Amino acid sequence: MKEDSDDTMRKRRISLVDGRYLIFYTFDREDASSEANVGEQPPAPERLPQREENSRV
Amino acid sequence: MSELRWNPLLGEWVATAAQRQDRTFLPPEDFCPLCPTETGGFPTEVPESDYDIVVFENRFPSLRSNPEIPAVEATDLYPVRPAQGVCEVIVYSPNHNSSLARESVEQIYKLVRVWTDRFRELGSLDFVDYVFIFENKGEQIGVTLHHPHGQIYAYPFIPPRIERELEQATEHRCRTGRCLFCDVIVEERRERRRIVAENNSFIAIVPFFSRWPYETHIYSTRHFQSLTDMSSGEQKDLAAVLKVVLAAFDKLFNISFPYMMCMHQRPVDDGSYDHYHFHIEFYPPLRTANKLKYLAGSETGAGMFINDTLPEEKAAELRSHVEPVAWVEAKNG
Repeated sequence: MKEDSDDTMRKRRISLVDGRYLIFYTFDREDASSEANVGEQPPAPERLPQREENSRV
Repeated sequence: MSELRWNPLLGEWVATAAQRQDRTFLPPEDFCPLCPTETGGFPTEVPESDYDIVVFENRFPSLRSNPEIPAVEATDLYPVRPAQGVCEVIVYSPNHNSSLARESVEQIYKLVRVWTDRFRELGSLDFVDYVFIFENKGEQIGVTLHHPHGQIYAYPFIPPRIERELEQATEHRCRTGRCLFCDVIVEERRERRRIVAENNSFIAIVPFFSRWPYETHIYSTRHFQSLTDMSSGEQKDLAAVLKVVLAAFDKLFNISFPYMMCMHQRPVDDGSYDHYHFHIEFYPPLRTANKLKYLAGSETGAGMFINDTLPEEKAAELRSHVEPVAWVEAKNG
């Protein structure tokens, strides 16, 4: 059985010998350029003050 | 045998699944059931010699779409119901020695799309009220297979942690008119010290109220409720922020960092959940390179966590290991 979920992802569903299903997902190549720009770090904060509570055992 | 037994003390369901005692436990690499089946080799769960991402029904499920009749009789005090639901395994890669942190951001983007498809498909089943996507990673968490994989449980009810978050979100919405999670993002951006990484669509923080030393939450910065609400750009941004956080985890102690990864989305029953907000929570069990945070008396018996660390310091540690993500396929066209 074949089902399409989105433009570049393909699903192929099979039955295993014990009746369970297994689905292979495959992907067409696409331009991965995106709005994604992860890795940006926030400005380094000031050093945290030491707190007595932190020495709790 | 498997069934759901009601705990009247806490008002929640417990699944008994005695057959899971016999599941495969830390097999040698040559007999990994999640690797591709090589020609003439040991037949694994995946009957082909290569794959990209595969999903299959768990061989040792605690919930089944066609469950057995409960082996015990219900009483007024102790309701019992069939353990109906779905338990899936999702294998991230054919590479046995990989991990989600080591996979490319392109592969993680593929995984996000598979998660989205599974949420949509399992969420459409009439006996499913909640689709829970999660990963247990590392022997410290109790994994029985090292091959990189996660799991999906499709429950016939809304699980208690999600119920409680929904109640808190409802109370906050009634009191302020605003989304609780959006307000957490505002507060964390104002304070800034607990932010680990941020991109156009997601923010990763060690929250003010962390219960685990390196607990990290990833929130969508736009208010939406589930994977199926995302644009493709947001799916890519989710892949990228996951890559950043997971890589930072591994660099902390130069080990493959153990964690529980739990995706919190809206229920899939017919309720209205506009006040809820998509996010992912990581609970790493390590408090140092070789010391575990145990769930002991206070945490397990009373439900009050004691965090021996400051979230502000742990966020700074993680932030020092954040590196930009490279999209290889974008560069190569």
